[in-house]
Amino acid sequence: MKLTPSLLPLARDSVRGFLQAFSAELVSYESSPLSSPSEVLWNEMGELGWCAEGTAPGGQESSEPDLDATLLAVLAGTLATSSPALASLLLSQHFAARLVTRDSSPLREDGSPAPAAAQQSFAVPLYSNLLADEPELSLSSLDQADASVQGTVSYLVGPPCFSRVVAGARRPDGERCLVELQLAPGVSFQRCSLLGLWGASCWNQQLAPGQVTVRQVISGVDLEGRVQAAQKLIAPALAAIAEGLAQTAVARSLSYAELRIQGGQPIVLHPAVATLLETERRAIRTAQAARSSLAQAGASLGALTDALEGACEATSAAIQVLGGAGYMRGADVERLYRDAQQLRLVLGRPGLRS
Amino acid sequence: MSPTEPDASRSDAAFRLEHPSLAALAQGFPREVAEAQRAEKVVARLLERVSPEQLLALDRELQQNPRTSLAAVLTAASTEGFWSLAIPRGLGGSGLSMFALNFALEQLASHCLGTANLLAAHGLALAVVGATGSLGQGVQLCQRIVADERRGQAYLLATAATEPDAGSDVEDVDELPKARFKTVAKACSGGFRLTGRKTFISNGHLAAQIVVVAPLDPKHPVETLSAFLVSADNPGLQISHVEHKLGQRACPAAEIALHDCFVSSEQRLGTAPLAGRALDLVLGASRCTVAAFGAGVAFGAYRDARLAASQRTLAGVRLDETPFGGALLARLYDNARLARASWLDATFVNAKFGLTSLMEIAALRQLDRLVPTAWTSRSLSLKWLETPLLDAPARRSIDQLPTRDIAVASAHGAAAKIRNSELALDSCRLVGDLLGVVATDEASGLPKRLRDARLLPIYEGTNEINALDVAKKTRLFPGVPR
Repeated sequence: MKLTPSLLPLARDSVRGFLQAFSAELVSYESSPLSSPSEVLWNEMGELGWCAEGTAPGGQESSEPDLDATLLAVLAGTLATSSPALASLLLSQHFAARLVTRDSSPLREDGSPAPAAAQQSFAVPLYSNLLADEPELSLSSLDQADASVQGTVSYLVGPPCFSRVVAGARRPDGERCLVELQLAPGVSFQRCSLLGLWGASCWNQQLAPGQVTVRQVISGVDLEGRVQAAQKLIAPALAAIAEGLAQTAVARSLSYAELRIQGGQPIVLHPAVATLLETERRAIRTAQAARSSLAQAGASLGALTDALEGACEATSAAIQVLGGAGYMRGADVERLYRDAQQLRLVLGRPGLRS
Repeated sequence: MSPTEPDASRSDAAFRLEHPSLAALAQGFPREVAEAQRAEKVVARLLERVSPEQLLALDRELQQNPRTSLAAVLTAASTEGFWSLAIPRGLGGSGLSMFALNFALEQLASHCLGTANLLAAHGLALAVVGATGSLGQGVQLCQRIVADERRGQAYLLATAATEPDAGSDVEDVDELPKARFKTVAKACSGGFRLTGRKTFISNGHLAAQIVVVAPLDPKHPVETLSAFLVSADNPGLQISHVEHKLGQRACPAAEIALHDCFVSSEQRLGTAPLAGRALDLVLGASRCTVAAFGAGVAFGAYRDARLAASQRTLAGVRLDETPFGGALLARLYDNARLARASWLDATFVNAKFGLTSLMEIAALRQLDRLVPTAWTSRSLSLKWLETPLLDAPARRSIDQLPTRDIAVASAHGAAAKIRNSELALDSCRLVGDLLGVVATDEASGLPKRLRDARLLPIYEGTNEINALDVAKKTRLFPGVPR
């Protein structure tokens, strides 16, 4: 689906309606470290057509993604104002779908309307570990029918209900490859990060025999190019989430600073607070610029790094504006800070990204 | 050598005024360094009793329930004699200097900043007692702390200054007149009645006694701001709730409600106003400790990053041997080194010109050096020290401190706190740069360190308030145009 000017307000309205419908759930979803989106919510996202469908029909790479990167950024950015975690989960599905072929797509395998998305979700590492020198998984056979994997998968991003995993692996002949795995029923993974984006769980698991089956081995193609294409698809959306975090930081800071009296006047009038607010606004501008530039062909991921660093600075400044109150759960800015810190590292080492 | 000492030669005086930390260091501190080594051993033994892994697990429990028991940590600190480290030997303590105590806290903070703050927040209350010249009260508290420690228990103190509508302005004498105090102490027969609410009280629900800061007349807080020692079992004091904090969960923050809470006249700490000199002395010293915390975070970040980088590869090369890894590790090391230098500088300056200089000249400290260690248990019977008669000379010592000396000490504490809180956060960021998504793994302890460190630029006055304080105090320095 490509973005047209008429689609833009439609997309925003669609997200706003969704946020309104699930507002109560999203509040609790964002306030507990062990939270997860309900299947109803997740399925609704599938029904709305937000989740990915796979992008390489017939095993060939496609230049036509299901969702344009710009449209994805609009969806993620609007979602992020209420739930950065849910927005990140959305990206993880599109990222994974970019890596696998359509016949193994998690959704609409027979072309029918979106089935229960909750039952067919991906977990995938979003960073370069997919193509690490020493992949964590080793593949037993080149014959997909007989193949099994062993090893550990780390830092997967996905909803708790995920049933498929995309990960990097080493073939028996030593070549790197990507594998798509199907989880056996009842297999559970361990959460490994409680820093931020609580709802977009980060998973680790040492795979035992019988826990997964190999659905697909992707090799013999330009793996790096495919991973980079997947990163570029979600990069504007990540910048949009950074923008959403910075916007929320400004909103929370302003609403506090206009009411909080110190030295006989609202602290918004204090020069030091004004400086902090300007830091937050600058982060919005940086993220907006990054979102635009990242949607261009051949864009460097350096702009994304700037946007994510800006979100960290903006959310940290928001805590500083609120002082002690900002450090406590309930004021919301501590969550924004954690989310920004997690988001900063989700694509791997910032200094090596571009 | 005081900046105001009249008999210094002109050139020496100028040098010492310009470089107070060097003036202090010039005397040499062999005793303090030996004490620091002793304090480090105490921390090492404490961490053998409660390992960093256990502290990490405890942090997770506290995330779910901030009232989770901290008995294991408190008992370990008691068993190892942590609570009495800086209490004079004459009162049964170890008599270590502020420098040695801050070094111990830095070392502990490199493993768990929350635990370091749990142990240090208690000291803030003692600092208020000292800065108000309440020697009799201080002696009684020290004896109680030592006695409980010897029974393996913790007699904890807390300080309640912040209110829902009054935060950093409570700590600044110029901002104080406009502070929106809701807590008031009204004089009554035999004492005072306290009414109001206090928030963000470190160790509030664990403390046996809480130092409550409140004005007698909210319209004249500068002239009437006072401190009161309130027992936790006072029927007029209620723990309203314990906060869910982002980090430093091992040092819980509570809110208290005071309903017509009666305290006797003896429980008022000093009679002179708390605002101004006394608070400047307290904060000058306590901000040095926060700065030491920052150094602890920086050292811990470097230590953990060094280990993790030795266990990982980048493009087939051990991460710590790559130019990328080496450059980041060098910056992490430099941050730790700078942070250490910063708090050392501030602590030595405070020992020379600030609150801890009083410890050096006070009768207690002198006595401390004369009393043999073997006498310390018998020294608990030194009842004469508890007499309020000693309060007046103690107060005189404070009053005689030159204003410029206090400004020098306060500015150094605040500047070190600002710098080190920023260095600490920068180190946490650099670890993320080095390790990427691995730095978000809870099991590594790295996310906890980041969450813990984020409080450093907030407490003891936000960094922004601290910066105003530095600007104001340094105007009093010699050579600055008036």
